[in-house]
Amino acid sequence: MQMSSEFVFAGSREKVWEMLHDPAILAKALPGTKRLEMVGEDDYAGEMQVSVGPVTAASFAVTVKLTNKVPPESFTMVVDGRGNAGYTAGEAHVKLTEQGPEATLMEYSADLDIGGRVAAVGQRLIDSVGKSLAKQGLESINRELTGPVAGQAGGRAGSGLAAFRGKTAITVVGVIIILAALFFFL
Amino acid sequence: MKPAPFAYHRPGTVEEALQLLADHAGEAKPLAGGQSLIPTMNFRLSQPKVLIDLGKLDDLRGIEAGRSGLHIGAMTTHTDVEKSPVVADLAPLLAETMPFIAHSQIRNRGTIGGSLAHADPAAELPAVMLVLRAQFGLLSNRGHRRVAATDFYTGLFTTALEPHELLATIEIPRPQKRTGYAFAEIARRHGDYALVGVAGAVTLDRKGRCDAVRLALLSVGDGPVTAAGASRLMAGKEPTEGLIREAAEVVATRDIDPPSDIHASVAYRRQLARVLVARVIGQAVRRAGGGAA
Repeated sequence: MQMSSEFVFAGSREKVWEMLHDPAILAKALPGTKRLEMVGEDDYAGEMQVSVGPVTAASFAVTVKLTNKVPPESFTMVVDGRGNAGYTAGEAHVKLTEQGPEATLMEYSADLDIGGRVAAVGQRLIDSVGKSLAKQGLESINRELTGPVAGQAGGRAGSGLAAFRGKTAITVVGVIIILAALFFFL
Repeated sequence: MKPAPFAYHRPGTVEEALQLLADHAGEAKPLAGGQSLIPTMNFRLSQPKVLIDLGKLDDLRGIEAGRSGLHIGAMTTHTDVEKSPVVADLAPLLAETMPFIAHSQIRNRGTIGGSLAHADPAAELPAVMLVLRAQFGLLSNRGHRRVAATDFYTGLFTTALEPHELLATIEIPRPQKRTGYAFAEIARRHGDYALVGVAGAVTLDRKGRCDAVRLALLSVGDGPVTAAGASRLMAGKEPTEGLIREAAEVVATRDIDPPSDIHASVAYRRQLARVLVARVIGQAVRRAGGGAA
């Protein structure tokens, strides 16, 4: 399955890159994150459980590996998600482009294999769920970017979670894409 | 293909049902026919801890013609709505749409309230309710409130219903004068989820110009999608063939942002919307007594 979309952040590219590297903000931006840890250099594992409307999906084990990192422009993610209800595996590419002093365009595209029960029964909803979750996550990051909390959150991250800074946070897009791909039903 | 364990209640009164819902808010799902809920539970994609079966609540069943319009109990089956002469008289758009909903076996068990509260983006009824400007009566053990259909749908499978609330009644205002209605959809086979569907109403003024045009589409977004651009374009104008074509173009290119799946690409869905919108507006205009289209 191919997925692609774009989103415009209200901030400079450096600031967006910074935000995408901030674990404190990430935790808020990702609905349903139960756990997300660094298990190696540019290598992350976690567990997600999200719900759309009244329906709750089973939880999924998620791994993300980062490759081709070109800060603050682009990176590639190799993603893998597995749960009782299905699986997904594939690659996603993310690119940040300056659109002005306070506007940054993020383009992402993913090519994913999806299988299991969710794929059998949820085909028609993949795209809508993907759009809906991506929008939710990205808008939440954007709010942090434009809100007064941003600087504060960055400071906290710097003290307590310095080890993760610049590593974990960038997986936000990957996780959103995995969630989007995995979380569909009927 | 078996559901996860759940507790089952079958209350005998609405009050009892509301109390159960409040006691288990967030963990309970009302069972209102089960034509969508039970399959998701059997796939274990939905695992409510408690099911509250509304099947014994006769107070929530029935169709009545009131002064202001039609009142339909949420537990009324699709088949009862489909066969009702009162519905045919007071809500012809609803009557026309009913046969498009799934198959007769499903319509025999599925209920109007169940479908409206489930908020599937491919469901016909939410779009029809937007066009008919329906009001939904919601009950809880703390009281009741009314929500317009336009405010009810808030996202993918998401509505204004709180976890402790039950959709109890659907109120549809009486048809306006000089108004025509129409519904059309394209599905790969009859009874399948529609690739695109369109419900529409056109009200003409005395001179045959469009007083109001209301359109809602299904299967093109997170829920029912109102085509506001096309309505604005047509307001106050004579519904010529050219204007209808233009309105259809506005819907296809601006009012909707459809998803793609293995059955239909984004471009194909836009094309279906273009064709169906023109068809629906044309038919609604003719039924409203207009001649041009």
